[in-house]
Amino acid sequence: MKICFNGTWEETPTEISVAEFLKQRNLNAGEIIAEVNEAILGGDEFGITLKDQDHLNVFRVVAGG
Amino acid sequence: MEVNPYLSSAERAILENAKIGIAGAGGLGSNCAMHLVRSGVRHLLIADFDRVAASNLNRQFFFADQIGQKKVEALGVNLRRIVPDLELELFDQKICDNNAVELFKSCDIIVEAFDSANAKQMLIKSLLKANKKIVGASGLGGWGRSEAIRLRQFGGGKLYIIGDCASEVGNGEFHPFSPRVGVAAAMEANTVIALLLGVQA
Repeated sequence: MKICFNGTWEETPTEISVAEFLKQRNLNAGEIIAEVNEAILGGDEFGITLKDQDHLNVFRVVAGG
Repeated sequence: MEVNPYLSSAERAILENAKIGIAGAGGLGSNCAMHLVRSGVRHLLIADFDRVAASNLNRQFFFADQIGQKKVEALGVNLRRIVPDLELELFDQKICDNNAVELFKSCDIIVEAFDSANAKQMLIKSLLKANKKIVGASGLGGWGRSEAIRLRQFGGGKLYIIGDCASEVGNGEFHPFSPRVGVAAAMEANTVIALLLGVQA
């Protein structure tokens, strides 16, 4: 299964949730805003399963202003 | 008063008729507001509960004789020194998930200009649920690495984020300095202007 993650195509061996995908990359879902196929996920939607050819984009929200 | 003589009449009308929300009047918000006013935006809704502190003067659009004043009031004075007849709605209050949508519901675009990561997340999530367009910032601490500050678009054009999404202020490694905060603030204003005028953000 191929997922386009922040503009780069990556192979994942099995179906995987957004939360698991982020965890594998040491990204804390609590610090992240994520979108799948241009739909921004609510805080309770990180458990959805990614599908082949999905586009997942995320960014970390960090302090500073 | 026409502060920006380089606009066409159509462009001027668009900017003058827009209402922009500024959530936070610190390093991002005060400087972004200044850029928007100099560009021709006339109507701003600005909310912040804080007062000007000496430590703010390294990057925020305030002056030494304003220390101790409410930020929204001091910023209003400073912006009106550029354009005296601005339409400003100033709210000296903390923004939370209970009041964010109601506060900014009349705004065409809202600039996220908080310093706390939790507050940034709260505002973005609250306003996205209300289908508002947001321009925010994440990752602007320290100095150098100018090329790392970039614009990214999310949600099919509902959310624009400026910064490197990594340089976190307050973790001991990075502190807020005027140039990098100012770059992000100017890019927030530039993105708002581009969205209003219908050109690529």
